[in-house]
Amino acid sequence: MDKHVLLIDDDPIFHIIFTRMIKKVYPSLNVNSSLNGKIGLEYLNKNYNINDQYIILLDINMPIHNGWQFLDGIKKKGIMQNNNITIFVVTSSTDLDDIKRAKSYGFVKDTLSKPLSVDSLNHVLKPLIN
Amino acid sequence: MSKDSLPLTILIIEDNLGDFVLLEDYLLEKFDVIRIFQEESFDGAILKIKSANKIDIILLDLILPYLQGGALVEKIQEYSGDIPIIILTGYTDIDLAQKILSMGVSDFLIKDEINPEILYKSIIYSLERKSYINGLNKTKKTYQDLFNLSPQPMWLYDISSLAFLDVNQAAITKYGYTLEEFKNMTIRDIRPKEEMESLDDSLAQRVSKDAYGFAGVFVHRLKSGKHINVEIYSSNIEYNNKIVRLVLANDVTDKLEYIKQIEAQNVKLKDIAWTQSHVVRAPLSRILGIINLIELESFNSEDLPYLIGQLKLSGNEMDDIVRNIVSETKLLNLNGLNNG
Repeated sequence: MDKHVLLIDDDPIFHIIFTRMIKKVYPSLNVNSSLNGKIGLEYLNKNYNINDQYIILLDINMPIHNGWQFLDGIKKKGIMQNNNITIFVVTSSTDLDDIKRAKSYGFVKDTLSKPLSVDSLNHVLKPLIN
Repeated sequence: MSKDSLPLTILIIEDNLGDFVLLEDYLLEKFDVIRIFQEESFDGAILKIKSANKIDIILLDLILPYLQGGALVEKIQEYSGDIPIIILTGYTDIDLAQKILSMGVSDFLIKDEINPEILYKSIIYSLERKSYINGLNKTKKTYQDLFNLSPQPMWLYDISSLAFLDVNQAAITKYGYTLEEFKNMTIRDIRPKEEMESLDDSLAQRVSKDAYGFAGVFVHRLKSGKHINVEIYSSNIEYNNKIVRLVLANDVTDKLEYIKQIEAQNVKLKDIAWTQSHVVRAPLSRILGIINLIELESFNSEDLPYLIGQLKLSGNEMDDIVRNIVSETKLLNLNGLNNG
């Protein structure tokens, strides 16, 4: 069983910061970066394995496919019920509407605000580490 | 028998001295405080009416030298205003006298039948009737003024033909049509074409519910072609023995325009708030994220110059965004001032 961290965010700086932090804290984890929701879905289409475990960190405001479109897409795929994907919405928005909307997707585990601290990173990655 | 103490000034227009003396006797018998003038000719009578003497009532012999009957009455009425006129006539002129009644004289008395009682009664009735009619006219005028001089445009229209029956001054000023033009128009003529359907709907609704009061906000077209938004209030009233519709129109164009402006400003403010929440926080969270990373890395890391460069970029980006918000807010204030 492999463990994957999927980062879907259009901000390349966030990718850099995030991958470096993970490398510092959990050097063994494999991080995949997608710059928008469409690329993220395509990655899953190609590489999804029912025996693997996935953590997805999803931004909301992105070009091409935004976070909502990604959530709708993955819901349609019907792979959430396999219980091997955990999704966190990570956004720089403090907009309550966004947070409410994210919660309306039952399978979104939590909503986190950027920037991610080491503490919130630990919280997010817990399911993979244990 | 006590005399009536009503102070009266009476003008008797009578060329027959015998008849005059008789009338004078009868009057003196009934009235205590009375002034009597006699004039024998039409010209003299007019002079007397025009003089400073306030005449309360005129007794008019129907046959004067040079001028008789209807023509005489008509001429006298040109000068007499609202002074009641009682016609004095002989038996032979009864038909004529009856016709003249329709010209607005108060009464006619047949000379041979006159006695103090009849004369007294006729005078008192005439005076009473005059004050009653004056009162009625005054009430009528008050109500007409309420309509005509109202600062709100108002009109009456016929329910079946939709033709304007009457229009007040404010409506004439607001819509730009003269009263005559209005009277040749229907209420459809002050609507733009695209409003006909909503007019028909509203009319149908009003008929079925016999509605009273607020009818809604409609678009009307002025003679100039300009469109205005009006709040319409209407109710049925009786006018010339017919049920017609009374309409009051309140121009709310400016009010609606003002609300629209406020709504546009709200959208803009919402945009700014959204920017605050999403756009400003993006570089800010990046800056904080980089700081988190620097804390994690050792300070002499070879990546440090790169990270500091990124900090600078994000800082500048944020600076631009904040400047942009400030200028947009200023623009909002300017718009408000220009339109206010």
